[in-house]
Amino acid sequence: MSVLDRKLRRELLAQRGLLVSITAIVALGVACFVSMCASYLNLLAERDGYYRDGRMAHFWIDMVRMPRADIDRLAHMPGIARMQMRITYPVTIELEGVVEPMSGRVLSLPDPGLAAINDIVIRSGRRPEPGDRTGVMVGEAFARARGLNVGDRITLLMGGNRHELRITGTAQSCEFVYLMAPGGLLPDPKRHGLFYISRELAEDAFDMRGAANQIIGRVLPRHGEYPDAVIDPLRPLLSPYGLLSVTPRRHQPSHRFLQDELDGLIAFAVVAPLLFLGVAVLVINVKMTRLVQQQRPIIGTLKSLGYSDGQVVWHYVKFGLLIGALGGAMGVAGGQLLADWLAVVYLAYFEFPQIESRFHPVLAAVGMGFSLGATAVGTLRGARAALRLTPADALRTSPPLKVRRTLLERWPWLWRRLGVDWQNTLRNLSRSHMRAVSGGGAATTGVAMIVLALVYTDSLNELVELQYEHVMLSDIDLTLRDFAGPRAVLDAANLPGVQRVEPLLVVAGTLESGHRRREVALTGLTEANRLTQAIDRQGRRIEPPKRGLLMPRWLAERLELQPGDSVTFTPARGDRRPQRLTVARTFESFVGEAIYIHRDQLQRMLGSGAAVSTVQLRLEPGAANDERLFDALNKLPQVEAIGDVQRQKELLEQHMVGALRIFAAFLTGFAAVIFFGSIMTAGYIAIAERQREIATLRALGYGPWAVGMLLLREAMLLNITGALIGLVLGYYLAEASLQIVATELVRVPAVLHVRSMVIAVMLAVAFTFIAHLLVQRRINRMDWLEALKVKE
Amino acid sequence: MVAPEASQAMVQLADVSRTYRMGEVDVTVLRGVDLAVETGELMVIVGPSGSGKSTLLNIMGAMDRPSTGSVHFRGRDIASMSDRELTRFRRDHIGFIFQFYNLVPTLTARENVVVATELARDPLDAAEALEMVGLADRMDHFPGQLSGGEQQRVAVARAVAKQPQLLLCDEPTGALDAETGKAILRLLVDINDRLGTTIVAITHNAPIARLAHRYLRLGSGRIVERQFNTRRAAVEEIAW
Repeated sequence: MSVLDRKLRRELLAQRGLLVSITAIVALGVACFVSMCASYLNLLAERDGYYRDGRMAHFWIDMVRMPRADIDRLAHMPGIARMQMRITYPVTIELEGVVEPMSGRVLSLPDPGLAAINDIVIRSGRRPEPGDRTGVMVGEAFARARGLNVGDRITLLMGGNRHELRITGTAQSCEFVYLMAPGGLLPDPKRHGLFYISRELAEDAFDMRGAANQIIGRVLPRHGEYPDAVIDPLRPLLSPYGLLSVTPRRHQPSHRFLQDELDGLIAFAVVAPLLFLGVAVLVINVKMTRLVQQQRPIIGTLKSLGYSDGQVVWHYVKFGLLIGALGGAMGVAGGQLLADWLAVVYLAYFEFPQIESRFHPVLAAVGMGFSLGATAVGTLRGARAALRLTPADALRTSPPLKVRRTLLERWPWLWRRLGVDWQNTLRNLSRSHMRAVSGGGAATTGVAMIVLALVYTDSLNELVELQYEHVMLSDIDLTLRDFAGPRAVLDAANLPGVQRVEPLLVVAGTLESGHRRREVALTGLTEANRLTQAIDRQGRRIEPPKRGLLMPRWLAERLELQPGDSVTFTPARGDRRPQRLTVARTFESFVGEAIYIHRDQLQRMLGSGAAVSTVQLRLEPGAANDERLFDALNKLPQVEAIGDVQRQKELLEQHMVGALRIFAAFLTGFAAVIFFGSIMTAGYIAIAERQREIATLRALGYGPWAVGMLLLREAMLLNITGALIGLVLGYYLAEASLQIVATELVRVPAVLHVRSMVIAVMLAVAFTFIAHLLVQRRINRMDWLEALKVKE
Repeated sequence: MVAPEASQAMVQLADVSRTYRMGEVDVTVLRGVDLAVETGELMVIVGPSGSGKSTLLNIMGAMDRPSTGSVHFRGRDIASMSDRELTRFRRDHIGFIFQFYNLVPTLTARENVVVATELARDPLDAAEALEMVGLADRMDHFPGQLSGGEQQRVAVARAVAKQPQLLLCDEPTGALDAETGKAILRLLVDINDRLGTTIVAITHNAPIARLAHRYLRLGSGRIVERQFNTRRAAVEEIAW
């Protein structure tokens, strides 16, 4: 090790505190980058492998009924690689000792020996043999949540009949990586499961002999993610079979959720490191500029000894690079640990057979590169000053600090009112703009991070409140197997504990506007509906229009529609003739893709006595735990699915509270690191630079705390100013990131309550104060008598 | 252009002027200085502060360039050298001693000397150099643990260890008390005598000039007096 490197090492060790805080900022930036990107790559690799091995479908086509033999008529269509038919229906579940309603989806298994599309992964036991009319394979998540094992019994209500089945095994499938309960947003494995049965059992149970109601298929590789060109020509051929919906992979719920998560990860992988490394650049810049200033005589001496400019600059650049290397290495290691942990967390949300957390050498290299690059950039300004210094200049004592007149001094009446303390504070801050920018910038970033966490919390709370206290006010939604008459409502009203009953008429179909097409569902409401309603941004009820559609704004934009435009709606059931409809009004919708229409108009369109497809129940207080109610619900034959709305609200709150708490804790910790790094750097530099001033004040009789107040006042002014900017920045950052992660299913409005703003600023003040205590400690320990003697 | 007497002189300055731009005004620090430093001599330049002593020393040591005029070192024109060549030149030929020692506080005495020897072509051993200045037993002390005189000795060892042809001293006793200062001067005279190193020292302490073979007095950027000492005083004889 050369002696100059030894000098470097000792200088770094002498400033451990500073080194640790700057390194921590760099490390956090790199850790964010590495963990997010690694999680992205891990999830992507797991998904792609899973999709490949399971031969994940490119499209799903739902119909009322299609004879199996007729599939051959489609097989020759250009672009199709393979197709497969199956029977799938929603079911309700009965388990010994469970009263709350459970629902699920039953799927018929393909014939053995076939390289099945959407092939399952067997986790335990075996598949039901072909022809097995009593065996069922249960989705792994449901089995785990309910503690079910091979050989246990379970009852499924299929086609209006109860089937007591024996569990032959458990399985997972690539098409249900994220399995949402009906009407919900989150997986609820205790209440919702998957069931695989033999084709023969499905045919018997649903009266589908020789037929099926779903086609799953794969297209030739060149059509990849956009199979529309291949599947659109199928529509006219399928309409005789009662075509219900065509779902390309990108609209398939499980795939969509996973994709949304991946997109979110990438967005954060870019934004978070930028914030940290940006602050690191600023702080290192200040530190290096000061270091070079402080070491002018040494630089001059080295140059006089014959060290070249390059050698001298390299010596100082190494200072930054060492922080970069250290921070980078810690960041890469920490990021990898975080990624390992995230792999476990993801496994709780997504149903993969496993998520392997791999080490990605490229990420480690890029992370190191970012960190070295950022610290090199931060070091450069200071190091460049060392380059510019001629040896003779470097040896001359540095010119006294330039104190500029501050802006405020242009208004003498104001300036005079400030008093000497504040005048001094402002003048000191105006000494170096770069330092003020760095200090303020760090505070801005720190507070922005806290605000980010708070906006997320406030916004999600607001979302839950809007959704469950203004839009969806029912406790339980019963989805009926077929359209029913008004009688269904009367039946439900007689159930025990029911306070209010309302009918909904929900009709699925295709909406077309020009060349744009979308599978949607229209929800028919009347003025009397209170348990489901559209609301505006202020939470006020919007009455269903007498004629035309009330459409979410984002959907209208996607279809390039405005109020007054007309669209074609082809119902999937009832009278299937296309109908022209007008967009009456758009509204801000945050969850789901419900399009509202007056029930009378919808009923006229269907041209039948259909009045009800869903019955919404509002329960009396306490009835939610009433066994008699659930018992009765489970026995209703015409009910296809039971949606527990309040359960969804609880789940959402539980998950949110947990996830947000972790998130907020992380961000607040990050903010603390940034505050500490910035304030300690600024404070230590100020002490070093103003030794004589401090010593003089001490000699004049100022106590150490009074001297500390000078620095604290500066730090507070800078940090509170930065914090206020951070409030604004954080809000917009949160809004932008919420927009990035907004999906068709969930769009979270950005909300920041005054209480949260106060919390953010108070945290900033608290961090500033605590960090200042470390600076104060140094002032307390300073040998000011010695400092008075020190030559300039 | 090589001056005729350059063949004997180690350093030859001809009509050297140096002007600095300070804000709005030009300040001329040296005005038409002609000077030759002979190989092996000990030269002292005296003058009040602001007379241009340091600038002159810096120009001789290739740390600064003249605004006009020429500087030759053993016949080579150093005023027209590139920065790179100047660095090389300083590395190979020049030793510096500063008023405030300019040691690296985070390096020990020995390491401070190594800073110089690491670069040199044919250096003395660092320990040997420190022994020469009488610091054999303080080699592993940091500058903060040494007295001012000891620190200046380290600086002398650092300069000498490179085996420079020209040793330039900028107020070498300026920060020291009289006794300690004398010890340093004794060291310099000794180096000049024993090693034959050419030394130029600047000082505002006129009595020190009596130690030199030759001394110059600088005033307002001009040489106002040039003298040979027919009899050099011993260090013990001078006082300030």
